[in-house]
Amino acid sequence: MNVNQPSQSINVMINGVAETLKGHVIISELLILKQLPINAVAIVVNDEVLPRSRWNHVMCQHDDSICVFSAVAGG
Amino acid sequence: MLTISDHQFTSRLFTGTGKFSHQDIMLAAIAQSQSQLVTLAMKRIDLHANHDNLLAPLQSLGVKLMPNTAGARNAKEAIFAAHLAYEMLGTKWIKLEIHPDPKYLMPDPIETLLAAKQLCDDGFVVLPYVHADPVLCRRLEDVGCAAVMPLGSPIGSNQGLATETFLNIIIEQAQVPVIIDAGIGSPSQACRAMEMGADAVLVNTAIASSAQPEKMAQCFAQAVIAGRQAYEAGLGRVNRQALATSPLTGFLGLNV
Repeated sequence: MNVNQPSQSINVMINGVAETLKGHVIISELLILKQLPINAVAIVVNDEVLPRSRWNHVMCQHDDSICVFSAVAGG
Repeated sequence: MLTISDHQFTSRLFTGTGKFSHQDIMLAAIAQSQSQLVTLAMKRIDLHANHDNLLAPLQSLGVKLMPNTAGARNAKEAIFAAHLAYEMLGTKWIKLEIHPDPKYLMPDPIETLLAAKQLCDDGFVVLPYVHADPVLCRRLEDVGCAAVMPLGSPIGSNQGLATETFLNIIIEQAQVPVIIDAGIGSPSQACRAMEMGADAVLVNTAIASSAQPEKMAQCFAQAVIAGRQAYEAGLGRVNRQALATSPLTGFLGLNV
């Protein structure tokens, strides 16, 4: 994770699924790109919880593992 | 009125949101239960599935949401899950549950205590799900848990208050609210827990698995109110032999 922005395609894992992104995108853009919900989700990048305040500042990097979690029914 | 941390509840019936056949049924049942606190789990989103909005309709009911750490197998995972929940829902309330055993879902007491201490230090309002162990409950209270949630019987089993003897000790000793969680299978069992002096009960499977969840939710609401009122009124003493409720002498003036 950093703020450099080279433009080549990168490979990332999103919730365990391999994806190729056309260039580096920031996390908040990634959610829109993948039609994922924005509210009431939490994001983990490379096993670290990424605070919402940083979604606009952190860019996906090659080989990143990104997980998006949401609330589900449970006891 | 029940107070946990800085939050007040007029209902002493807490409900889980799992196992309902349909979200609308779950929402209707929670509305009928008059519950003011519901539990949620967390899951990695399936990228190719529809993303049902669970939160908005729950929030429209005005209930407080309490995420759980289900799926955590140790303290480290549970602490991670709590922070994930905070980012997701903006609440520091967390139902701490660590049960690595998939068959009986018995909570791990050592990992639970470790996680509870760390989460309390991190400013979370921690409600740990534990076995009905009075010593453990005191230790959890000592590290700052806002309540304790001992089990009646295994999760989802509907076996009722198999741990009643130990629940009584916990209730007697606790300085924080005691919420009987897991295993309560019928309104009468919820009523019994409240008669014993529990501060609240958490019910999920018994409502969700009923043929008529809405009606069952109403029954639980009534049972919890009745049980609490009975506790406040004070139950009569239990005696080993009969004590007549009617005069047995002087019948019709005859000395028989």
